[in-house]
Amino acid sequence: MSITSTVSDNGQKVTIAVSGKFDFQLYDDFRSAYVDTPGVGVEYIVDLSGADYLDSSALGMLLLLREHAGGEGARIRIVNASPEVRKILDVANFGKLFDIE
Amino acid sequence: MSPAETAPLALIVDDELTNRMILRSLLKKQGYDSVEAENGRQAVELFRERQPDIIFMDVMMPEMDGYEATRIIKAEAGNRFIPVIFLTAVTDEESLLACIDAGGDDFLVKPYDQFLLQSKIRAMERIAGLNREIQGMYSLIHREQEIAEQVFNNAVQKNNIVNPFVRSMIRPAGTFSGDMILSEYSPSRDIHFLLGDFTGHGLSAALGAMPVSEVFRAMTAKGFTPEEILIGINKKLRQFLPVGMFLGVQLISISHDLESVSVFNCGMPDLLIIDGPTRQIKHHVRSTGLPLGVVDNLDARDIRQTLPLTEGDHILMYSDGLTEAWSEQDEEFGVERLEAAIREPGDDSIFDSIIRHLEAFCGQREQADDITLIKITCDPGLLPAIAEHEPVQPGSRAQATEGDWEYAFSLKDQRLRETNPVPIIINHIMEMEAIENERQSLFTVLTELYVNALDHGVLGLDSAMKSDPAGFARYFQEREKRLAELQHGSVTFHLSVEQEDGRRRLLLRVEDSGSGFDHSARSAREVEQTGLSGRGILLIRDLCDDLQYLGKGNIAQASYSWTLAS
Repeated sequence: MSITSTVSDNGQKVTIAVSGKFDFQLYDDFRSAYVDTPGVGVEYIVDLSGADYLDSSALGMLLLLREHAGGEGARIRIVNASPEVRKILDVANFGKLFDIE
Repeated sequence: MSPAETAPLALIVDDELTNRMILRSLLKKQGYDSVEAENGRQAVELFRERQPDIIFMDVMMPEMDGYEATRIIKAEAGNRFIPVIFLTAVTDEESLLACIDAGGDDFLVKPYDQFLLQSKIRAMERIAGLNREIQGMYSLIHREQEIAEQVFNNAVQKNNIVNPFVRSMIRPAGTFSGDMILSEYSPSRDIHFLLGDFTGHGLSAALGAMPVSEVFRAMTAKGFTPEEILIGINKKLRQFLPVGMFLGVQLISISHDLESVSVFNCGMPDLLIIDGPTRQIKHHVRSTGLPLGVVDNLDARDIRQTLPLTEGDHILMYSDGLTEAWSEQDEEFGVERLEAAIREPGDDSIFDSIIRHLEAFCGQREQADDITLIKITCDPGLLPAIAEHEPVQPGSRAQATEGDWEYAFSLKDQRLRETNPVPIIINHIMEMEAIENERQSLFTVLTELYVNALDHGVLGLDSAMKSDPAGFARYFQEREKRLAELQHGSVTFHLSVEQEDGRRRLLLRVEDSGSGFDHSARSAREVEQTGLSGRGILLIRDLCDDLQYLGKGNIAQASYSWTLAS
C-alpha cells in the first residue's frame, strides 16, 4: 500500500501518508483515505516523507481533499516534502492554499 | 442460421485426404462450408482468395508447413481476427507451445471428437465477435477523434499569429494535447502569448482549451489588460471544470515598443529570456501565481513581473513535458540539459538545438506527457502593421455618424487600480462613430495618454528611471507599490467630436490629479527631447494632428481626425 491513513482517537485529526510515486494511480486510494471522514472541522495532515515524486494529478487530488475539508476554510498541513516534491508544490504556488511545512 | 445469410467458411489444411473428409463432415454439422488445401502454400493462396472465417491447420506438410503458413496468414490478416486451430497428433507441451507461438489460437488433437470441435468453434466465434466489436468501436473512436481534432484546431490554434519571429511546437502524448498555445495582438499593438497546460492530457484536457481560447481572444482584441484576461479565464474555468482539474498558464504581454515584457507565470516552469548573440540566459521568470481554475477569486495583481527587452532577445516558454521527457535509460531531460542546448554555440537556432538535443536524448522512448515549446524573438517584424489611416468604405455604418457629441469619464481613488478605462472609452467611441479602421490607432493614443496620466501624474513616477535595465525593474516595482498604496487620485477623460470640412475631429482631453510640470517654460516638443517622456508621446504625436499640455501641466489635449466617408 502506498497510502496509509490514521485517524486520531477523537476523530479530529486525520493523517494521510503517501509513499512512492504520488500520481494518478493513487487516485482511488487517496480518495478513500479521507472520503469517510467528516471533512469540515477536521485537521488533515498529508505526510509526504515517503513520496519521491508528485505530478499534476496529485496536485488535483490535494485540491479535492481541500474541497472535502471545506474549501477556503480547510485545515490541511502538508508535511515532510522532499526538496524535489517541495519544488513542484512551489511552482504551483500551493503555499497559498495549504500549510506546507 | 437464417437462410438469408451465407454459411460461414472454414479452410481445412491437411495433406491427408481422409483427415480432410472427416473434418469436412464434422464442420458441416456445425453449419460450416469448407474449402481444402493440401499444404501451407495452397492454404495461403486460398486464404487470400476466399477469406475464410476459421482455419484448421495441420503441422507437418510438404512444401510449406503449418507454422510458416500461419505466420504469413496472421501477418496478412492484420487487425482482423481469423482464428487458426492447429490439428496435431502429438500432445507434448513443446509442440503445442510452438503452435501458439506461430500465431495459432488453439489446437485440436487427432482423432477428432465431435463435442470438442463444437466447443472450440463456439469459443472462437465468441472471440471473433468481441474482436469485431472492438475493431468497430476503435474505428468509431478514431474517426470521432479526428473530427474533434479538426474542430479543436480550428477553434483554438487556427487564429494564432503566424510570424517568422515566432516558432512553436506542440507534441501531444496522445491524439489530443492538454497543452495549448494562443497568441493575439491587442488593439494597442501589444502582443499576447498564452501557453497553457491542463491537468492530464488527451480529450478531456483539450475540451477545456476551447473556452479558454475564446476568452483570451475576445478580451485581448477588446484591449483588456493581462490581469483582466487571467481573471476572465479563471472565472470561466471555475464555471465548468471539476475540482482537481486546473490550468497552468504562462501569459505574456510584449509591449508594442518591444522595450518590455510582462510575464504572468501561474504554476508553470520558469520562462526564460535569452540574449540573442551570446545565447546566455538573462532572466528566469519563475511561477508566482496559482494555476487557473483553483480558486474563485483570483488575485491577479501580484502576479505580474515586468522585464526589459532588447532587440534580438529570445523569450522561451515551455511546458513541463519538455524537461520531464524520459530517455530509454529512465532519465529525465531536465533543466540542465535544456539550458546546455540553449547555450550551445552553433549554426542552428536555439529552437532547433533544443529539438535536436531532446530527440537524441529520448530516442525511441514513448512520450508520457505533452511537450510544448515556444520561442519568440524580439524584432520589429514581430509587430503588426499599423492600419492605414483612411476613410471607411461608403455604404458602411459610417453614414450614420454625423452630428456632434461629448463624453466624459472619470476614474477616482481605488477604481484607478481596478479598472482599465481604455476599452470602455473605445467601445463608446465605436458605438458613436463606427470607425473600425481607427480602432487600433485610437487605442494606442488613449492608452499612452492614460498611462502617462496615471504613472507620471497620479503616481508621480519619473520616467527617467527607466533609462537603464536596473532602473527599469525598479520603476515597475515602484509603480506596483504606489498603485497598491493609492488612496486618492483621479484621471478624467473628456471627449468631444465635431465636424469640419468633411473631416471628423475628436478632441481628447486627459486630466490627472497630479502636480503637473512647468510646460510654459518649455514647449511640449522640448519636453519630449529631454527624454522625460517616453516613446509613447512620440507615438501620440505621430497619430494625432496636435498634442499640447494645459493647466499646470496635468492636462494633455490631443486632436485626432479622420475623413468622413462620402
